Amino acid sequence: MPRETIGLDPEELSAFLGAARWAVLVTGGGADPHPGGELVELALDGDRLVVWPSAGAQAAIDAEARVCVIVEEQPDYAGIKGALVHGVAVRLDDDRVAVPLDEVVSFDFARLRVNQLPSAPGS
Amino acid sequence: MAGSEEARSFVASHSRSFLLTRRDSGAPTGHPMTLRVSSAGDLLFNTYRASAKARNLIRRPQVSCLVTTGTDDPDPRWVLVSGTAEVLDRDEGIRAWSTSTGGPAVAVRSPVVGDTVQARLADGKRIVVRLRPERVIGPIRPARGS
Repeated sequence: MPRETIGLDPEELSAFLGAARWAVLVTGGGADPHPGGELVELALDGDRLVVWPSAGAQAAIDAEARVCVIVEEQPDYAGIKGALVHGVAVRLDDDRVAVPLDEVVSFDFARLRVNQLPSAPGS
Repeated sequence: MAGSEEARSFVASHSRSFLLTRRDSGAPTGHPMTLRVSSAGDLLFNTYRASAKARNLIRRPQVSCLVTTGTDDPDPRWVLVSGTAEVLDRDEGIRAWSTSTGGPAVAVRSPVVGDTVQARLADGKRIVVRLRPERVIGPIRPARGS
């Protein structure tokens, strides 16, 4: 059976990211083999995300600029919606970091067939 | 589990989490997950055996888990748990999952999803992953940048 297409279209993605205030920032730099992660404040700036990492995350980004930024909302099961952005982070003049929207995977559970049934979970 | 009593309580009462792994290239990535906790304090997840996250953690078992009140929480908090991930064999995984506990979860509340997960664990298409905590940070309220 072909996999369902449940991604957000470009307009929906822009609206979703534009409305989000917080995101998970995943980093991989430094001597620790475990990926690092933290919640960061987020803003959509054209075709890039801008986040405010901690000093520790900034140091991790200096060591390895590839990062992942995740935004997700879960009002109920059918309303689960999210986006994962992978990219090379760029340090800005202040403490902020920009991540281009070059590689984005998004999901919107409302598009799942099971959530279009009358007895959909969470409905 | 490592970490403060406050951190253990936070992890035990919040199911929203992000499993942090590395891709084949070594680049970091994350996966939204529903978290459960074993009686021993280990973190438990279930996922499809063929999923990218399963491949990632089998290749590099040093992973982290960010447990949070949610990126859609206006006043969010989070805990970061780092450790070594292990895929449980089928029977141990089913036993561990069925006896685990956790905070309220949107997905777990759905009977359709719960039944499907149980069936896929039984037929081996889904696996249970155990993360033994080695380091715990938090709970933390993120700094406001703007």
